[in-house]
Amino acid sequence: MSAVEVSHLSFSYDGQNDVIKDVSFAIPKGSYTTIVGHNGSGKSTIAKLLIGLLKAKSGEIKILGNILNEENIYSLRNHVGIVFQNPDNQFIGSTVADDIAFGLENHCVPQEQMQEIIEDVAARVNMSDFLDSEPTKLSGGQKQRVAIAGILAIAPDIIIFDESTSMLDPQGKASINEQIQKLHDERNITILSITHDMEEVAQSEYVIVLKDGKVEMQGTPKQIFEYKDKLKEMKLELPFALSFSEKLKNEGVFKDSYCTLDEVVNELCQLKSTN
Amino acid sequence: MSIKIHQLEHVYNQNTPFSHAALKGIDLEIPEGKVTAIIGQTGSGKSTLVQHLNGLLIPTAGTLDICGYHIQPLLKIKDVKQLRKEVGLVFQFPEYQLFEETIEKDIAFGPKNFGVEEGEASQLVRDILPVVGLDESYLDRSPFELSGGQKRRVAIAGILVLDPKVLVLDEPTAGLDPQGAKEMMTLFMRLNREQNKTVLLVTHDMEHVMNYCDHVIVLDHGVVKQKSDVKTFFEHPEWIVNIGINPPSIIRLKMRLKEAGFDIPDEIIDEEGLLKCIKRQVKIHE
Repeated sequence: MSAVEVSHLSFSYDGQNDVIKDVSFAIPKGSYTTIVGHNGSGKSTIAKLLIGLLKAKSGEIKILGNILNEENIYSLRNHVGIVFQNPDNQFIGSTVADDIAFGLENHCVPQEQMQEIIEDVAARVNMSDFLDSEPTKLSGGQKQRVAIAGILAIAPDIIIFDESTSMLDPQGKASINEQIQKLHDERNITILSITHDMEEVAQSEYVIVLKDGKVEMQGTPKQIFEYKDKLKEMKLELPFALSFSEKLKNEGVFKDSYCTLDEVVNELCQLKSTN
Repeated sequence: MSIKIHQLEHVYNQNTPFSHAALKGIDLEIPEGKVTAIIGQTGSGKSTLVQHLNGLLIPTAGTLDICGYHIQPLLKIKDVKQLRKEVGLVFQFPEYQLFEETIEKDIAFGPKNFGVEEGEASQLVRDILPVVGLDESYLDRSPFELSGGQKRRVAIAGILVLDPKVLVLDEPTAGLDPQGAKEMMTLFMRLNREQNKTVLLVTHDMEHVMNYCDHVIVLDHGVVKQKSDVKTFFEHPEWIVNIGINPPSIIRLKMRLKEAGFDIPDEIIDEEGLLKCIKRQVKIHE
């Protein structure tokens, strides 16, 4: 069963111009999928449609096999969590612990269990020492980790990250990306990440490329990166590891291309030891 | 004229229990007509520093000389309005500050505030649009129906229309797609080269620092940890790692290869050089 299945989805903000045009895709359960596309390609609109913040004009969305409609939207939200670009927009509690508790209260989790869950999820995102801190006093990366903890507490099956790292410094970004990867590996959560970071795309299992509200390509990172010129045309760039290994290929050093820095380094080390 | 900062200190909430020194003993000389990057982790004092440059903040100790203004503690800046015209400060996500009904009115807001006549302001707006890569068809459109990248261009045009000598940009490419970011950086470089504007760039993007900037200033916990030209800076990756910043991809690759036993001289920081160096040390497929 797919975690998310979207078929012939269309949406328009003004009732005239469709910003999402007949989009179809399926995300396998437990997969790590990235959605990329230029600014204005419809990425965030799709995220909002998936969690029912916006209502589709036509087409259907299936979450874990159930067609999303007005009756089941609230119960399906137990299964889908979202982390937005700017964590400041979603803080409610006056302390980190209160903020994480907010979602649990909404889901009528008994008080006794709450404390345990809060401590557990805070530990997972390395924020145990900050449970009594005021969210507004935290750094950008810390805030984003609290937002993730708040989602984890609900233990959804699917988490959507909507450019959750674009405002962070490189270190904060690396730490969040590590969290995302860990969630996926350890808890088999389906991850859907909307991003501009091509390094993150290279790490994911499946990529959906949007252009002007339509799905332009979908496939594994390796398959997608084959279409270099097309990506360039769509204002997307190749990850550094790939463009550099292309150059090594031209120089006759590599036979193949690689998407991640790890692979490039490993391959070069092997070539060196056989030298 | 360069920007001279001498022993500048800024303490927030001074003489209260919440007193916090955001900047301590800053000594800097920022050269005219160059592109200087200001980097550092969140909370290192970058934004506090740049807000001193157009008098939004006044130092609690030390002095600042910029565009003929001598700024010192406690003294109100004379003619601060003119200073703000000469030093254009573009905040993070400037598109959030758009507010007018049309793009023309939004860009003309600044000049009108500085007393420019209606007709002249309208001409200034028409002159500045092509600089940010927009044409006159945008004049009557609402700024709110534009894409993120276009909105930001309009917001930046609103600063450029005042023709500042110094342009200070706080994370100008955050949230833009890679192509949009590149176009934005190309715009700033053109303003620097063709109009000799001094550009200060607060950024987290080390690729931008490497590819576009002349100098780099590293702030760490409110002090200047490093100041250098860009080439020397990237020849010392340990400087970058020590302050908890992720180096550009090429430098990371170089560091990893050095650890793995490759012999790569410090001065190699470009792709061509690294390629040549690697080629000499591996077996080539026939």
